Formats: sequence, C-alpha cells, structure tokens
Amino acid sequence: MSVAIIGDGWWRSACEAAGEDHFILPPAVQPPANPYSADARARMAAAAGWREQFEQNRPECIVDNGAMGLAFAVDSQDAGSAKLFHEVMETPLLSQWIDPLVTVFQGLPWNAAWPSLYSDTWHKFVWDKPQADELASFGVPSVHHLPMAAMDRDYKTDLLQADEAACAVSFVGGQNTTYFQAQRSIPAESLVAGTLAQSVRAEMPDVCFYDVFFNLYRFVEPPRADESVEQRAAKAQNYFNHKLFYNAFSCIKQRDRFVIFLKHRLGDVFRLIGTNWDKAYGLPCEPQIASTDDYFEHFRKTAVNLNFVNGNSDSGLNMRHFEITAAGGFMLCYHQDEIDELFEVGRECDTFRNEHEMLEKIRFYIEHADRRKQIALAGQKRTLSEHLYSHRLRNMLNVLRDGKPALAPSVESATAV
Amino acid sequence: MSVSIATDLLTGPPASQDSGPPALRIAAQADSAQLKDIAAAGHVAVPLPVLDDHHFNRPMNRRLADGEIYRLFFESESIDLLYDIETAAMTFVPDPNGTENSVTMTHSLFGMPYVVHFIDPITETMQQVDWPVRWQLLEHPGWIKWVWDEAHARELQRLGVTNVLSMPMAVGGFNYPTEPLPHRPTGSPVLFLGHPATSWFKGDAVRPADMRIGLMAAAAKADDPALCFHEFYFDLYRIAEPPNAGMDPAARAQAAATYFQTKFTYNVFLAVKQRDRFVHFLQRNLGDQFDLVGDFWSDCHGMTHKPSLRGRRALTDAYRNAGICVNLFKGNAETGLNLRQFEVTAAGGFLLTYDMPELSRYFDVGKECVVFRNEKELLDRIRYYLAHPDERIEIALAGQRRALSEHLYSHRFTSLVERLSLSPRAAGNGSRAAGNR
Repeated sequence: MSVAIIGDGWWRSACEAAGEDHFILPPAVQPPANPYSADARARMAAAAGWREQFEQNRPECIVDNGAMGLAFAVDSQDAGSAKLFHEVMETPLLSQWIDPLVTVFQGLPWNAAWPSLYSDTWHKFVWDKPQADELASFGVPSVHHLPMAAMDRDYKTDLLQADEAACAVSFVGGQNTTYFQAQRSIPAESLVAGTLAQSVRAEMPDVCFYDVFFNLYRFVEPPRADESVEQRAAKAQNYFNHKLFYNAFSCIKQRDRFVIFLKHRLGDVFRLIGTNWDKAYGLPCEPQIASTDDYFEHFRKTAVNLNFVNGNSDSGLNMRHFEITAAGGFMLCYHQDEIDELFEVGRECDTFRNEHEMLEKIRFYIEHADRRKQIALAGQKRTLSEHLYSHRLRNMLNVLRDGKPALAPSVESATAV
Repeated sequence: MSVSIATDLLTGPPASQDSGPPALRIAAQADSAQLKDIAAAGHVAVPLPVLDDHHFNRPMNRRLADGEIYRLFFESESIDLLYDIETAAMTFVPDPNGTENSVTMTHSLFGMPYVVHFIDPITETMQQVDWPVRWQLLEHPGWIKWVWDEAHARELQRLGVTNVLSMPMAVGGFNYPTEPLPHRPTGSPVLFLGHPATSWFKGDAVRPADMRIGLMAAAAKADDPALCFHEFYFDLYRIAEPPNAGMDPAARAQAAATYFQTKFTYNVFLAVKQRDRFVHFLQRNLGDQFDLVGDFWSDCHGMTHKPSLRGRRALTDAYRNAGICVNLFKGNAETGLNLRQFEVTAAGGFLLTYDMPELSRYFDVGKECVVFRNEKELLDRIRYYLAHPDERIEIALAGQRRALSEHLYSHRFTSLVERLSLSPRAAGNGSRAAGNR
C-alpha cells in the first residue's frame, strides 16, 4: 500500500526514510504561489487530475500539509453539489497543520471550508495543543495533536570548533502580522475579547483563547453537539473574528518585541534574517536564505540561534525548533509550554521568559562555547532520533493503521463536543 | 524613597520645646473631610475661602481670579501648610518680581509649603490648562506632589517633575462600628463597589498602529510582572531618553506628552487586567450572589449594576453587610493601593483584593486581608471564606485594627508633617519674592 503525497515537500523524504511506498500528486496551486490560496475551482481541477493516479495506485492514505489535499469532486448523484475527493475515493486524508485554520482556508469560502472539517476520514494533525483542543471543542472529529518536525536529510553531525561560529546571534523568521502597520481604524469593541484573553493569560498562561471566550467569560454560548454544522460554522466564524486581535497581540508578545529589542540593543551583532521587518519596524534585515544547504549551515555556524514562535501558536513549537537542532545549532528560544515534552531544557536547548533573561543567556552562551556545543550536540541527537518528519509520519500512520493516538494519551486532543 | 524639597519652603522657627509636636495651622478646602482629619492629627484646620468654582480642572484665568481671594486670605491668616486635593486650591497672582504678565502661585508669596494629594493620575487634573503650562507647573519645585503609586512617583521624577512624594492613600476618620461582623452576611455575599476602569472599548474607532508600543509594554509586563511602564520605556526598550534640563521647556512638555500618549494602551490593558475582567467574571459566574455597585457599567460593558453609594455611613454599612468585599484596581495603578483598600478595612469589612506590589507593606496578607491573582483564586477564595465565617470575621477585625491605627488620613497628616520637617511659622506672613513663572 502506498502513500499519496500532495506536493513535493518533506513528506517525500519522510516516506523514503520510513520505508513507505509513495507517489506525488501536484497541489492545486503550484509554488511559488501560496498553496493556501487554492480556491474551490482549483481544488476541483486538482482532484480531476489526481483521479487517474489514484485508480492506478490505490493509496492507503493521502498525506499533506495544511489541507492541500482537501479537494472536491462533483457529486455524481447531484451535479449541483460537490463531495470531498478523499471521501469519494474512500481514502483517508492525513493533513499536518502548521498554520492556523483561518490561514489554511484563505482560498475557500468559510461555508465550504468549515463543513469539510467534519469529515471523519480527514485526520487533522495540529501542531499546537490548544488549537487542536479548540477544533475538537467545535465538534470537529479526528483531530490529533502532533508537533512539527524537521525534514529528513543528511545532516552534518561533526562538532564545530569553537572559533568556527561565523555569527554570534541570529534569528531566522519573518514579521508576520500587518495588524499594527496599516494606517486604518477598527472598532474598539473588536479588541475586547483579545484584550481580556491576553490579560487572563498573563496570570494563567495555560488558559487558551477558547477557554476564555466560551467557558470562563462566556462571550457567547459554546458550540453544542446538537447544533447543526452550519450553526457551528457560524459560531466558529464569529469566534475566529474575535480571536484576530488576540493573535496579533501574541505576534507582538512572542516574537516582534524581542526582535525589536535585540536589534536596538545588539545592533549588527544580531543578524535578522526574514521578510517584512524593514517595512513593519524599519529594522535592517536580510532576505531569506535561498538554498537548503546554506540554511542549515547557517544554524551550525551561528553561536546562538534564537527562536520565537509566531502569534498563531499558544503552546506549540514551530518548525525552526526542529530545524535548528537537526542542523546541530545551539538553540535559545522563548519558552513555550510544549517544549518540555519534546526537549530537555538546559541540556538539549535552553529557553528564556523575558528580555532580561534572554540577554543574560545570550551573553552566557557566547562566553561558554563548550557548554553551548554540548547542548547543540544533545539537541541534535534528540531531534534526529525523535523529531524528523519520518517520525511524525509513523505517528500519523499509527493512527490510521492501529487506531493508536498520535502521541501519548496525556497529550492527545480533547474529546470532541 | 527620598524626597527632595526646595529649602525655601521649609523655613520657619524651630519647633518649641513643649512636650508633643506643636500644632500646625493647615489650610484645606472648606466643608471637606480633610478639615476633620487635620484636627484629628492634632493640628488646627483652617478652612480656605469658598470659591465660585474650585474644580481641579478649571482653567488658568479662573485660577488667576481666585488668586486674589487666596492672597488676601493668606495675608490675614498664618498658615503653616496649604493642603489640597488634585490642584483645586492652586491659584495664581501676578508675580511681583517677574515681568509683565508673569504669574506665580499664590502660596509662594508667603513661603508656605503646598502639598497636593493626587487621587487620580496627575495628567488628569488641570485639564483646562494647556499641556505645556500644566507640565511647567508640574516641573516647578514650588509645591509638593503627593502620589499614592510608587511606580507613578518614580515615573514622574524621571520625567522631570520635582518634589514628588510617594505615600499611600488612606481613609477619613469616622465613627466606624468595631463589633465583629455577623456570621451570615445581611447584604450580598460578594460585593464590588466601583466604576469601570475603562470606557475605551465603547469609544470611537482606534488605530492599531498607535497601540503597538503600549502592547509591547503589556507583553513585557506579562512576562515580568515587576516591570513598570517607565522601566520598559526608558530602560528596557529605550523608546526615548528621559527629558532633561538641557531641553527647552516646550520640548520637555512634548516628551512627557508623548510618553503618556504611548502609555495609554498599556493603561487600557491594565484596566482590563486589574478590574473590568473580574467584574465580568463575577457577574457571569455568581449571578445574583454578586452585587455590582457603581456607575457606567451598563454604558461601558452592557452590565447590570446598582447605582453608586454616597456618604461614609452608606459605604460603611455596605462593606459590613457584605460577606466579601472584592477590591480591584484601575489601569493607572501599577504598584499602589486604592482608596477602597482602606475604606473597606476601616469599616470592618472583609477585604479580598487583587494583589498589588505595595500591599504587603501596609497590610499583613492572609491575616488582615486576603489576595487573589486570577479567576481561579478569586472563586476559590470566595467559596472558602463564605464557608468559613469565623476566619472571615477574624481577618476583618484584624484589618480594621490595622486601618484604624495606621491608615486614616490623620496618620497621613502626621507622617506628612514629619517627613517635611514642618513646624509652625512665625506670626504674620509677609509677601515673599517668588520666581518668575
């Protein structure tokens, strides 16, 4: 049995490393276009193009990132409606979510995207536990929490010499919210839920937006199991609209503020690699590193690789956590709750919780090269043995084949409504 | 913190050798509770002349007209200290030593110290005085600015405000009942008395671009609760340099204005964090077990509420009748305690308060009041203390003893006189030369 992979990303090398037969199907929207921008028509056309390979190869499942495998086929019984392609082909769809729902569905109308989520055979592997719980709480079935990972490839594992660090401190990542840039006005009332949720999290960091919105503060009644999919879609849309400011604030809290702080404090000693920092804040920044080899080499050759998650992550880790460590780089990151489940902090990476601590640790690890190399080595061992996409693929296929949870029961997603 | 006072405010004959400190003649607004508190502290309370309008926001031209009234008064009375709330008594007269059109604060002609106790943020007083003039007045060393929040005091000092005194609020003297509370409350199980901390969310459209720095400060504070806004602004992120003496007055005023404008979003965040959210929470979770007493809740947040109470007797009864009095803070408080902290305890009510950094200096937490930091602790403690009336009554009694022995305004007056090393002036005040405005 083989695995159908949408797009030629890391799942190909993951299948090869895991020894899984596979074939590749082109996504509805080809790079360099944004794959999330695929609209219903493009997804329908993609599905039509996939059908022949499906019938030839009879895959066991479809694996994708961010719902690229969500496609539609005209209902043979009713030309006016469409079915989900994977259901028509009776093939489970396994999607790894590395971006939030509203990003993933940006090409589709909400009333088409949201009901699609209720497909039992569409397994959604969400990298951030609160977002997995959030979906499950809306009654979306087959939601699993599964962290991101690093791609399978040959990583250099030789230890760098102390004087080989070409760069002292670096962050690789873009500035991802335009919320505060545009010279526009918004109703003050739209900020209430987000402000309130962030103030609650300031004192109870494990409380997520869903908890605040529906349970703690009851802005509206939570979705109920006896409600129709359409009713739940409407509640979800209202919910995500209210969450918008919360996410924008999180961008500031978890990433942007630290980048601004470091650029002002450390100047050129701090290399900022990523897009939009100049437009958003007037900070000098370098473009993204084009070649994959150079990208991973950068992490190896940087003394202190900083990592800050985006505003869309409440507790989960982003791909950079795994890329830096896989490359053998030393990682110092803003503390996220899930990090303790995936790395031994202090031995395989280190974390900070505020500006003072970040500066202190940057200075410490720049001065203590041997210590940071020890940590980098241990972090690399951990990632290469547990946090590659081949490992995640194994977790996903276990769900399908053996009915096992994606992760240990204590971190599995919440029971659906 | 230390206080630096201009020495020409402190001249006067040495204290007499009689036993006990000599009584000072302290002027305060007529018909104000302060007069009783001054007298309770052992001083002579001298009522100020009644003005047509003594609102603290009135413009300069009114204050100039009032200056003559006060000048005549000061000439005829021997005043050792002019005490004021929020600049209501700040008046001006033509500066006898200045150029034409220059003015000086009336009290400065007589060399008396002038202390203004700010209940609201300092930037919310004198609102009808143009900001550059307002700021220049704040920078002037000719008067003392008493603020109750240490972070605010430090912030003002860094912005160039002189003679800032940090001292907590208190409560006026009153014949407070001191018998233990009843086991079963006769009023609401849980009471909050106060207005919303912010009406901002009901206001006009806002520009996210203007909010960014305030939100950065709020985010930094979430990760480092001890951080205050001025530390974020001047030290951590170095958004701007503090104003300094080398800048011209207009530039210093502008720098201060920019600081406070930038701080606004941060204050809104604190308003939600320290008060409004908990009121929402309590109303939704306790229903009719929770009494919300205060104005504007329906306008600002669509919440039902009872109207404000007025008068010491009505307030005292409400605090004593409730099972638990919850105290929450407005967005302008970063470290200090509000009036309610002292009102509830002095009345003998049981106080459950949002934790603030300065609290443990003035009350023994757990013995004289109880704190909470989040919604879970709030509910847990409400349930606990309603179910344990003996403990609740004991804490209320202890809190009252503390408030009545240390936290009345008479105590503050005593402390003020000591800290400023004040003593009675020689009889007969003549006018004194004062600096140009």
